[in-house]
Formats: sequence, structure tokens, C-alpha cells
Amino acid sequence: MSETVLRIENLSKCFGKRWVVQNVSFDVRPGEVFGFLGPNGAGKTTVIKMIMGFLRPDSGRILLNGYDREKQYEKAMERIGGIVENPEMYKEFSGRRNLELYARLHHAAPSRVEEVVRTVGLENRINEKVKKYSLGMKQRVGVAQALLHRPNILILDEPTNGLDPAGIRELRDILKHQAHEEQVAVMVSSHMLAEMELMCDRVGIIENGVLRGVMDVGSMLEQVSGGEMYVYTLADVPKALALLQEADSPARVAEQAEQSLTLAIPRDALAATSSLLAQAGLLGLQKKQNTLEDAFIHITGGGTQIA
Amino acid sequence: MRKIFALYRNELEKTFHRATTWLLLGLMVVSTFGVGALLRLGIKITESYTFGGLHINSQGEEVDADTYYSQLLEEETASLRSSLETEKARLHPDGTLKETFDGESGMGAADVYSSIASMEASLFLMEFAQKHGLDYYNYRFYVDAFLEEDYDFRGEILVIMRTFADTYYLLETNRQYRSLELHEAAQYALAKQALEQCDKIALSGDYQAWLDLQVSAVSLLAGDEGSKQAMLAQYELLRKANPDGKTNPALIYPVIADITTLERSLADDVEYDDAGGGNATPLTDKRRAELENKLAIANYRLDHRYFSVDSALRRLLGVSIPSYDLMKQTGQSLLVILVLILAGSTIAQEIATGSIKALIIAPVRRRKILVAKALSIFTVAVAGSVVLFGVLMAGEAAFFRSELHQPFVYAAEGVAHALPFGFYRAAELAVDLLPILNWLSFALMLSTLLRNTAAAVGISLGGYFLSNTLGQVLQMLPQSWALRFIPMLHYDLGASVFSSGESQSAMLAELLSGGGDSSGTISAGFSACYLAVLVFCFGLTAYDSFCKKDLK
Repeated sequence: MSETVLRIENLSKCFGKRWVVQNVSFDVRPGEVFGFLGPNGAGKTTVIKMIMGFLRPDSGRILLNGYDREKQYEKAMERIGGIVENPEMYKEFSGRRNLELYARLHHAAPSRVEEVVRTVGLENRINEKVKKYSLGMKQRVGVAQALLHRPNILILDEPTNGLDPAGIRELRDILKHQAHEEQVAVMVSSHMLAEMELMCDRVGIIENGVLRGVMDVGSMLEQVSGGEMYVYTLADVPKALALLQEADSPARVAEQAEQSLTLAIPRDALAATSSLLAQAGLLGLQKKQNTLEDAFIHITGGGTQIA
Repeated sequence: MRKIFALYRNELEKTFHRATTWLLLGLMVVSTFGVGALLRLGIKITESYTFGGLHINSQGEEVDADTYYSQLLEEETASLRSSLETEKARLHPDGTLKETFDGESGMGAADVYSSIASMEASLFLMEFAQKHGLDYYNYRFYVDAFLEEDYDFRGEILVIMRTFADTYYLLETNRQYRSLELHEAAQYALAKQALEQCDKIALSGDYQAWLDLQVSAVSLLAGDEGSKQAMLAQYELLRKANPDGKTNPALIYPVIADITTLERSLADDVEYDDAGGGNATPLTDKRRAELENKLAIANYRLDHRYFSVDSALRRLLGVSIPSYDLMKQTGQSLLVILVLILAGSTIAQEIATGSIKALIIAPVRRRKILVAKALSIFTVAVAGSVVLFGVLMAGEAAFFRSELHQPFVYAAEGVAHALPFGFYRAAELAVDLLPILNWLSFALMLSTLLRNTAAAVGISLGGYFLSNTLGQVLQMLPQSWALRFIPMLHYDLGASVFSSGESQSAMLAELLSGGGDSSGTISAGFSACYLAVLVFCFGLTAYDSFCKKDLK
């Protein structure tokens, strides 16, 4: 399916005199996990809050399942689920009661509560009061709440916060299942780039309120590195650099250490580059996997801490 | 509507899950009942001090009130008997004074005759009280005893007997020293017969005979014929209002006095007060119409035997025990505090804890969330009012003689009407909810504007207490057009409409008949409209703040 269920058009938001989001446009399709990345203060949560109805855009349009969120609010929000920042619930109620209250708003059947509780693996603790829950457990209840009414758009802001590695993996499986099996459009923002790399099909990167790009994860890694990455262990690194310069090699230095060079090399130039560097005392060669973090740093200028 | 109803149910569940709700509702019940109990206890303690606090008899022993007054009566009887002998010893057998008197000797002897007669009369009454076990000191007829339901009309015999005894013994003393005039002889015979009749009535408990005796006593009284006729008319009203003697006449007297005074005022075209004085200026048409309404109400109450304990106490003892009002004010204050806490925190707390997120993400417009929240808190107010009503009824029944089951009597255009008990109390409940709704919307507005629970609840509570105080102060100011727009003067709406007072009855008549303000005070209709406008304004501000602004 390629029909867009979430479309953002030229979205802008101003706090005081500062534009925190400027002309952001993207869309999310059913059956994909869309990662929304950006450094601290880039405007990720602001965009998500505008989609979820917390903030009113100063300009632009948000279409959810074809409905304009401003003009047809209730229809637009009918099939959207999500968590914004931390999942917050009524602490004096049990997890189950919280879900039941939410189910009532969506006219969801009580049996659906049991289903989502099983989905997030909280069967044993669901009857305890929320105030006794850890952050990870709250995240699970939050996800269960988001899934309760079978949304076709799922928006999760930092959903892996507070989850242990096993929990992160379970969440990844849930979201992937929702996207790939249930054809839900999943939009996720997270600071765990390695996790996003494993989870997302497409990502959008936002910086200073401006969307820097939206692309498939695979092509982004390819584009960022300009080829494949190789780590050369060398006896004489300065000599190797001189050789590469003299030969006008297409290989690009990604990282330099005392006895190694990490190079991005186009596939057809690997043999020539290796032969050239043999003259500088080649001790070893290893292929390095490109990461989303590399891509992120590359796109956002590298020096910025990842949110 | 379906979504609002779902939200409403959720909000209601959340509200009743809060410990604060149950705590304040519980406090409301306990405090309301407690105020009633304290009031009754206070009356007992006050009376206890009024009658000597601890009842210590002449032997220095602490005894109960009955024993104390019984012993006191015996001692005072013995003392009076001794004084009487001393007084009699001042006279020669022929009635002349033994000692020399400064002034004319005849006058001195007459004074002694009078003194002897008075002592004889008192002694007779004391012995009569001892013989029939009557309350000579009237100590049982104080407030606390008055609130007891078992009324024995014989308690009043001593009061009326004083007239007969004074007359009889004065003439009896005179008779020993001189022959009586013809009219004196007739009075003497009448008084003697009356005293014998009192003895029979005290023994038999014949209420009709007692009424007849009271009528015959009028002729013994000093005063003009007009006053005597007025008294006879009052006795007739009393006979009509209390045919079996089971009702304490003190309950009936205020109504009878009202009727007598109002009839005189209307006949003479001058407004008299209860004490017989009055404003010499002629009645205006408006005031005449008001007095006619009052008279219609008084007659209606007399005909249907609807009497007020509080009016009786105020008239009889000069004290007012507005027990129902005090208990109601206590309960309603706590109910308003609960409403302010709930409304002040409903939005602000959800924003602070973040639980508002789930509501915002739900497919419901924010205005529906606001409406559902306001409705749920209003439901608590309604439920609280119903509980309060039950507590008030129980409290009144437990601690005070309750006339709550009587209908509410009001008059319009000189004709009295009565609202049935259930309808009147339900209407009072509904009227009382309008000021509560006003406070609810005020706190809700603060909650959405400030988005800070402590500030919203604190300011609204402060406003509530301040308005109570300021309201009292402003009531003292002369009425003016500008004062009508001060909110705190409108918060006593229920009491204004359904009070038994004159102007308030007129207010109700005005509300029901659509007439104009008759008392010069703020009309109930104006107050209701004004409060409704305030609720709308507070609600609109809350809507604008919560529905139109960002939730960061």
C-alpha cells in the first residue's frame, strides 16, 4: 500500500519570536515505520504535538486519513494512537482501569483490553496501581493504550525510554508487526539511533526546525558514506595518506588513527586502493558497516549531540 | 453526545475515586450534624447556667433540676408564710396599723393590705403548684424544654391564675376590714369561682374548660374595652388554632399576634409593630399590598396550623435558633469547598501530571472534555446537596422540633398559596445549586487560565471566604443601583427565595407572578439572572483558555 495516511504540509510553529518549526512537509504511509530524528531542540516533539492536537500550527496543514485536523478534528483523530513524551496515566488507578477508561472513550470492547495487555506482556502486573509501575511498565501500558482502538496511525515519541534491552526488542517487534502485518503507519522519534536503524523503514531528519531530508534507511547509509567503509591497518599512516593524495584516489578518509585509516571507497576502486596502500605497509583490511549514526552526524553536520 | 457521556462517566469515576471527595462529603455530613448537636448542647448549657448552673441546694448538695426547684419552692413557701405572719402582725384586729406611719395613716394601712394580699396570692399559687406538681418557676418552659414535643397545657394555669389570685386575695383582705362595693363583690365571687375552677382543671386536664376560663378572666383585667375585645378575639383564634390543646400556644401566639397587628394596621391605615407602636405615616399602596399578603400568609398558617418554632422562640425568649439555616450553611460551605477543590484542580492537575495527554489524543474536541468535567463536578454538587438535605432533615428531627414537613406558604395579591413540601424543598435545592454552579465555573476558569492546581484552588477558596465576609459588610451599606452588580450579594439566593421572612415571601411571589421587586432589596429574579450571566462569562473564559490555546 502506498496511500498516504499521515500528510504534513508546510507545517510551521512559532513560540514568541522564534520559529521552532518551519515549512516541514512529509508523509507517512501504511505499512512502514517512519523514524523522526533530530538533535535536542530540533522541533521533533513540537511537530508530534501539532499532529496529536496539543499545539495549533501557525501555518500549514495536517491530514490524517485524508481529514484536515483543524476542520474535521474528531474524524481526523478517530484512528490515531500514540504517546507524547512520557506516557502519563491516572496513578491511583490500576493499569487495567486506565485502559478501560480509555476504551470507553473509543467504545472499544472489554476483550480488546485483554488483547493489548497480552500484546505488551503485562498480564501479571496489569491490576496493580500505576503509581507502582516502573517507567518501562508505564511505557508498555502507554503502548497498550495507543493500540487499544486499532489505530491505523501510531505516533510514538521516544517509546524506548525506560525500557530494558529485552523490552526494547519486544517493542521493536510490536511496532514492526503493526506496520508490516497490520499495515499501520508508525511514526517514531527516538534518540537511540541504533535502535531506529533496526526498526525504521524510512527516516526524516529535522534540525533547527527545518526538515533536512526524508529517505529510506538503506539509501541514506549509502548516500552518506559515498560507498562502503573499510578499515586499513597500516605500518605508516602518513605515507599512506601521501600515496592516496598523489594517486588522486576516489577513496575518502572517514577516520584517521595512529595505525589505521577508515576509508569510504567506491566499489570499483577497492582493488586499486588496496594495491596502492600495500606500499605503506598494509597489515590488515576489514570491512566496516555504515550506521545511521554516521548518516545522522553527516547530515546534521556531525558536531551536534544526538537527541 | 455519546462521547460526552463516555467522558462524563470517566470523569465521574475519577472524581469519586479521589479521597478528597469522600473526605469532604464525610466532613460535610459530620459537620452539619455536629453543628445541630452543638447548637442543642449549647442551649442546654446556656439554660443550665441561666438556672444556676450546677443545681446546688441550700444544704450545699448538687441535685437535679426537678429536685432543686421542688426544694426551692418548699423553702420559699415556708419563708413567705413566715413573712406573711410578720406582715399581718403589723395590723390591729380592727385593721389599723400598729406602728406610726410617715404620712397619712389610712394610706399606710392600705399598703400593708396590698402587701398581705400579694403574699397571700403568691402563697396560694405556691401551694397550688406543689399540690398539682406544676412548674412554679417556669424552668421547664425554657428553650430546651420548649423543644420537647410533649406539651401539657396545665403548665400555663399558674400564669393565668396570678390574675385571679391577686384579685381574690386583695378583695379578701379588704373584706376583713370593710364591706366590699357591689362591683368588687362580683369580682370577688368571679375570682373565687375561677380559682376553684383552676383547681378542677388542674386535676381533670379539661382543655375546653381552661379556654372558657381564660375568656372569663378578661373581664377581671384592667384596661379599655377595645383591648379586652382584642384579647377575646385572640382567644377565639387560639381556640380555632389549637382545638385539642396539644399544641404549645407559644407556637401559635406569633401567628395570632401577626394577624391582630396586621388587621389593626390595615384598619387604621398605619403600620403598627408587634409591641403596639407604629409608624404614623399612612400606608402606601405598595406597603398596603405587602401587609395584605402578610395577613393572608398568617391566616393561612393559622387555618392550616403551620407554626414556626423559631418564630415562637424569638417572640417568647428574644432568642433566635435558626438551626436549619446554620446547619445548612455549614454543609453548603463544605460542599462549595469540595466543588472548588474539584473544579480548581480538574484541568490544572491533569496538565501537571500529564494525564491530560490521553484525553487530548482521544477523538473528542476539547470543549467536550471541558463540558464533561464541569458536568461531573456539578453532579457531585447535586449529589452532595441531596445528601445534605437528608442530613438536615435528620438533624432537625433529632435535635429540634421540626416543622420541615409543612409546605411553604407565600402570598400574591392578598391570596395565600402553599408549595407542597417535596416541591418546595426540591426547588430550594435547585435554587441553591445556582450559586454553587457559579463557584464551580469560577474555579474551572482559574484552573484553565492558571493551569496550576494550587493557585486555582487557593484563589477560588480565598475568593469564596472573602466574598462571605464582604457580603456581610456590603449588606450593611445602603441599597444602591451599583451594589446590585457585586457578585457576593447574590450568593444567598436559596435563602432569599425560600425564607419565611416577609420580603423573601414577596420575592417568591414576584418570581412566580412576574411582579416587580417589592421590598427595595435585590430581587431574587435579578440575582438568578445575574448569577446565570456570571456562569456564562466564567464558562466562556474557561472555554477560550482551554480550547483555543496550546497545551505545551
